Parts: sequence; structure tokens; C-alpha cells
Amino acid sequence: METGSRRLSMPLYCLVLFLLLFAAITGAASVGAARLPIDEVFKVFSGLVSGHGTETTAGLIILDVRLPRIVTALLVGASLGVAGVVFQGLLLNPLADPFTIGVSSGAAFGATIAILLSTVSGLPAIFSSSLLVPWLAFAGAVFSLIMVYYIARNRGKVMPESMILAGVIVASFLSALISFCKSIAGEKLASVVFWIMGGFSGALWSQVVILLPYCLFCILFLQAHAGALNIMAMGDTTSLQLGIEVYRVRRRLLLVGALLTAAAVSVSGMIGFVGLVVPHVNRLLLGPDHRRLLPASALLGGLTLVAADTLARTATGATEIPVGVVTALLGAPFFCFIFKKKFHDEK
Amino acid sequence: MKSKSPTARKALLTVSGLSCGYGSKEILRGLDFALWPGFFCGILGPNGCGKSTLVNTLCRVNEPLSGVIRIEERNLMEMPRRELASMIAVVPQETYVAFPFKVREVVAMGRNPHLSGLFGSGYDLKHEAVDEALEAAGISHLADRAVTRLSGGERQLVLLARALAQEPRLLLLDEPTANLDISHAVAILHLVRKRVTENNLAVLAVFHDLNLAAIFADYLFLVKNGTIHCQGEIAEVIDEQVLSELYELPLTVHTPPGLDRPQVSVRI
Repeated sequence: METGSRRLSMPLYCLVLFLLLFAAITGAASVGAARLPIDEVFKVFSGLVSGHGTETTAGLIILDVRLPRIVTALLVGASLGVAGVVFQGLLLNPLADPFTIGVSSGAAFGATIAILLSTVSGLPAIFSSSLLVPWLAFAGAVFSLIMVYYIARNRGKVMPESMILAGVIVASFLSALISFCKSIAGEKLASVVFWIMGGFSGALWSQVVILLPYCLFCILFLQAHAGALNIMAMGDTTSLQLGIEVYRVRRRLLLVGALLTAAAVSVSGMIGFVGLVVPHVNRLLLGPDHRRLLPASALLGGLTLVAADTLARTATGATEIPVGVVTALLGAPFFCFIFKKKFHDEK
Repeated sequence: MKSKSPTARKALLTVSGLSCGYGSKEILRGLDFALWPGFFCGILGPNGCGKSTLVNTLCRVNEPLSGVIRIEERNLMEMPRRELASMIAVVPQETYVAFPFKVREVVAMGRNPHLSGLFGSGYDLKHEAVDEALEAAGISHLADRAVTRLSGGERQLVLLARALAQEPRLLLLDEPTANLDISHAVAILHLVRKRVTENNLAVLAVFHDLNLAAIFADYLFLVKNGTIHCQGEIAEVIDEQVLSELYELPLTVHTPPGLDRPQVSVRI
């Protein structure tokens, strides 16, 4: 986590990210099974603002199929980026990411149960609803969070290392349960595996309307604590001496960060890499100030997943690649490049 | 050996019947003392006698096992931490900083206890107290450097500047000069001394070096065997018999020409 004092200008960096994000959204709306020309896409976008001109075929494809998926990818990317910054900052560990404390395993377990339940005949209609998977995934994530928190807590204090250890314990227990479920899943095995690998193929507006305010609230809450996160990076003793109730604030931020991750994972599966690398790239470019890192990571995370998802659904034609595969395949070499250039240069 | 109050003025902080330690392990017990504004108090004692524990208890990083600490008649344990931090600042012994924050940012963190509002945590980079503190510590020229790239002595000055930006009434220093060469050590103690005299700051500093303590402090507490062994003004405490007994080592005390404070050397 060492960088020198050279830092990029925040407004300029955010402007670049905004432009790239806009380009990515436009591109994502344009490409797919039916290829729509860019001017058609702009017509639909401006129709969104003016309220007419969206009833065309292109309008329907973009609004009903592509846009919910784009917005979901954007929200999930932003959430993972922000949660990654918060977990790295709180746990003072460069290897931490949103999945470190095990909420993703909880979500995967919940989703697995939901997928298996949908095969059981004779259950009420609610069990075959398309929203059952995200809701049970969310419930699983919250359940694992409660477990991890309960294990890690000691006299009202949560120490970073015990949180990581508890996360590992709970995650490995849940992984075993998931493997067990897979072994009895039968024909549903493929759905389970595909869900866990991560993707946005099932994105719906009905998810977005829940996800959007929820993620926005969590992100703003964390942003409001950016200054406290900076001080807490100086250690517990210093934080106490500077007037921060460090145990209370850490507990609060861990919970909100984990709840944000839980929502993201429950609609997208386990998309690795974004929550780990986006914060690091921004830290290398912008320095350690969380007041800049959080918004920049929301933007870069959103951009990354919109772009990666577009690649995932178009790169091979008919079949989709899991988006987590795309993020790792492209992200890892890119991060290596930045890491070698910036990290080693300035040592 | 007990001295009367060194001054008629009102104490800023009073400690009565204080025991401190960790969990069930009592390290210091039966402490009764006071700290006064405009007075530089020092703590001396062998390694491991609990000096740092005392500092950590006075700034409420550790809970006291028993006893009462009052700051201007108010119970320290019942104050909101932010308010406490606006009155008491600490310069730690350990200066390691993990993240490459700029010097100005680290110093500005000292403003945190003075920020208000629901989410008002963090720092105010432009506050004049930040500039003053940088100036006072003589590190204005380092303001835009990454704190991780400074030397130990420079980092210690940064942390002192942060404590000054806190604009405290009481400054606690935990062996502030332990890892420093003599010129950095004297620079820091000079600065603290100046604040005591000019701004009526109250200071409690843990000392390692008897001679620096004798030069810069007004009043000393000698800690041994889990309690305050004796306390008093320099002339009473920097005494051959008292110190030789404290450190279980033959020591001589003499006053070098041109200096009005006694100095200690080892007699071999």
C-alpha cells in the first residue's frame, strides 16, 4: 500500500471515469444479439428524458432487456468497489476484499437452496418466483454475516484479524454445505454452478428498484465516514486519542459494508477481482484518502462491471461467459501492469 | 517523601486512588496526583514500571481498574470521547504510519475532535491551527511530503504537530524522544516547554533520559514497584540518594557550570 506523494487530480480522474462510463453504457446498449446503431441508442436515451420515442423495437430492447442489466452491473460494480475500499481500510489488510469476511459464501448458499427449491414440486408459487434466488441469497449473506460477527466479537470489540479468521471459518463451512447441495442437485447442478460463477443474465427492473435506493444509501453512509476511515487507518490507539469511538465506528462500517456486499452478491453471484483490484488501482493513483477513494472506486467499479458484462455476453456469440471470468482474465494482467509500474517505481 | 502542591493555581487534572493495568493484571495502584496548567511534569522509572500504561489510562485508551480521574471537576470516564480529545492530546512513542498520507493530512487529523455535526469526522486541511502547528514544529516545508517517507525524527515532529493542532489543554507525551538523536530530542522538548510557558499548557511526559527530564520538566513523579515512589520539584527528586535507590545503581548528581539544573551521571 505504499505510494509516493504524486497523486492524480481527483476532478480530472473522475471526469475521465464519467466519460468512459458513458461510453461503456452506450456501447453496452448498442451491442448484443440485435445490433443497434449508436444514433438509435442516443435516440432512445434522449427519449428517456423527453418521455417519447421509446416505443420502437430498439426502445423495447434497450429499456426492457439491456438497461436493467446495465444498471444492475453498474450498481454491483460500484458496491463492490466501495465495499472493497472499506474492508481494506477497516481490516488494515491489502488482501481484504468484500468477500473476505464470508458474506459471499452465505449468499451462494442461499442461492443454491433457492435453485434447489425451485425443482421441488408441490410448493407454493412463491418458490418458483424469479426473485426467490436473490432474496434467499441476501438472507444467506446476512445469516453468514451474523455468524462471523458473533464469532469475532470479544467484549463488544471486533478486531480485524478475528473478523478475517471468523470469515474464513464460516466460508469454509458454507462451502462444504454448497458442495453437498451440488452433489444432490442433479439436473440443477449447472444452474448452481453458473449462478456461483456470477453474471447478470437475470437482471430485472423489479430488482433494480430495490437495489438502487439500498446501494445508494449504503454508499452514502460509508462516504460520510470517509474522514473517520482515514483516521482509523492510523490505528486504534491513535483513533481513540483523536476522539473516534473506534470500536463502535468499525462495527457500524463493517456491518454496512457487508450489507452492501450482500445485496450486490445476491443479484450477481460471486464476481471476484473488482472489490480487490479497483481499490488498489485507485489507491495507487489517488493516494490513501478515503474521501477520494470511495467515490472513485464506485465509478471505476461500475465502469469495470458494465464493460466486463458487455464483453461477457457478446464475446463468444451465442453463449455467455461468466462475468467473473472476464474481470479476472482482463483485470489481472492490467493490475500487474500498474503494480509493476507504480508500486515498484516508487519504492 | 511528599511535596506540597507546586503552585497555588487550580489543578487541571486530578487523579485519586487510581489503579490501572490490563484486564485483571494490576500494574499501577494507589495513584494520587494532579497536573497543573503551565506546568511541565515528567514521569521517570525503570522499564516496565507502567509509565505507558498510565499515559494510556489518562487518555482513556485503557479503562482504569479503579479510582477517579477528573478534568476540571468532570469525571473523565463520563465524557464523550470527542470532547475528551479536544482537551487531551497524546504524542505516542511509536511513530509508524502504514499509509502514505501527506504530512498536512496527518496534522489536520488533530482537528477531528473540534469538528461538529452528525458525520463530522475527519479533518479540516485549511484550518489555521494546522498551519500554526506545522510552523511551530518547524515542518512547514514537509507539508506535502508523504509521511511514510520521513525519518523517525521528522515523523515524531509530525505527530507532535498533530497534537498541537488538537489545541489541547493537557499534552501527554509517551517517551517522545526515545528513538531520536539528541538534536531532535531537544527540539521537541524545547517546543513543548515553550507551549507550557507561553500558552499555559499542562504537560505530562514520560522520560527515559534523566538529564533531559532535569532540564525541561518542572516537577517529577518517580514510579517504582507499581506506585508513585516519590514526587516533587527537580531539586527534591534529582537527588543522589533518591535516584540511586530508584534505579538500584550508584548515581551522582552535580550541577554543571552555566546550568541551573542538576545533571546525573553513573558512578562506576
